[in-house]
Amino acid sequence: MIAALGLILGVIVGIVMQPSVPSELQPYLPIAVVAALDALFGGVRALLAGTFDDRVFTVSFLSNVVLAAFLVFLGDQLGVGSQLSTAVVVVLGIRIFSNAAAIRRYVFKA
Amino acid sequence: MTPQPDRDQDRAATGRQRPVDASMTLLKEIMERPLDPGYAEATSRSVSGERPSQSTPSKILTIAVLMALTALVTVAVITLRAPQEDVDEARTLLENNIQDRSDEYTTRKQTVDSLEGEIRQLQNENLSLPGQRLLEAAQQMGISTGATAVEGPGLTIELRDATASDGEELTSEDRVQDFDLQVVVNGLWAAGAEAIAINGHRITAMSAIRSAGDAVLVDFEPLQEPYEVEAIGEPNRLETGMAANQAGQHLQMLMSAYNIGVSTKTSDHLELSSGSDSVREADIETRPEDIPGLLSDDDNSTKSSLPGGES
Repeated sequence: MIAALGLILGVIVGIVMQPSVPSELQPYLPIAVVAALDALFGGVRALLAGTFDDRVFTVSFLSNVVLAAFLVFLGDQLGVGSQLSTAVVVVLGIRIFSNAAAIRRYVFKA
Repeated sequence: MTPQPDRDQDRAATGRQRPVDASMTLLKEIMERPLDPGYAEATSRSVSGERPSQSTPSKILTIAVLMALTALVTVAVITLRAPQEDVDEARTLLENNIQDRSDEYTTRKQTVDSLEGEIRQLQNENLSLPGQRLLEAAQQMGISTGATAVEGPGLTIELRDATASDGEELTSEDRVQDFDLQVVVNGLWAAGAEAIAINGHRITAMSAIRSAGDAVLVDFEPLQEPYEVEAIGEPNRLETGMAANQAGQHLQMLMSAYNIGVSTKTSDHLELSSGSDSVREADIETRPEDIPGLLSDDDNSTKSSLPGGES
């Protein structure tokens, strides 16, 4: 419940405030969004499995976004930014898919 | 000494069989355990009573962190989507602009066409009263200046850009350039051509053959390759004339040195549309059959210009 409240408030704040993102942060935005999606799908799956925990969700959300952004930053510094971005997107994409499949099994029993 | 016993010994030593997919642990890990293991641990801890339920400050902290993260992600999504819309808007604007301008161009061209048709008709009507000689002179001049549509036997010279061989880009040298067309047109005039058109654009007394980038413009209208230069005149004379003068040599050089395709053919019947004879503006007319009313005007003019017409 607390997590849902936080998420809804965050979306409202983001839409209402619409602060401009500094251009140095722009490259990390797509990866951050994908990481957030991964955390969200993981959370929903845990919720359906009955193992959901606010603290774990928050920490995994935060660490996902920060780590994904950090990996892209590191890649940029090493000159392999696009490759590392691809790696992050592939791994997170597979996880999103598996979690979505699990959610589908819980919801549709199929 | 077969390898078989050795392996058995290995297995016995380690006590377990090596999994088939041992080299793919990373992929296996991703595929089979997509859920954060933290969830399972947290559940087991709360079940065993190791961790008490969350205190109020930690709840507030959770909400605050989640709020900040979600706000960030929302802003990220909005920011990522925004430039796309800008680009789309600019594109649509430009597209509309192009559409509007070309529509305007078409309408104006139609006006010019109809007005010129009217001028010609009035000319024919008025001049047929004072005397046939003036009218005939005007017709003759119209052929020279390109104001009158003409037909007759003639010569067609087709120029094609060199074809690019594999993996090679065409340079501007491999393409037909404005200079080549200028030489050909001048050569045709010199060989005795009475009227010339390039890709259906009649070359008038005020025509310009120029280039912009890689495109060849005739009277500021870009042309598409292949370039078909049609000239009306006595075909044999044109052919021998072209072979003898500088233009012929230039064409030979284009063929041999730059691999530009040149083909020449004579024909008994060519039809060249009329070009614009307006003094202020050198404009190209479309073919007369494209303009309703213009062709019939011309028919009338030819009839009325016949000496001793049935009137």
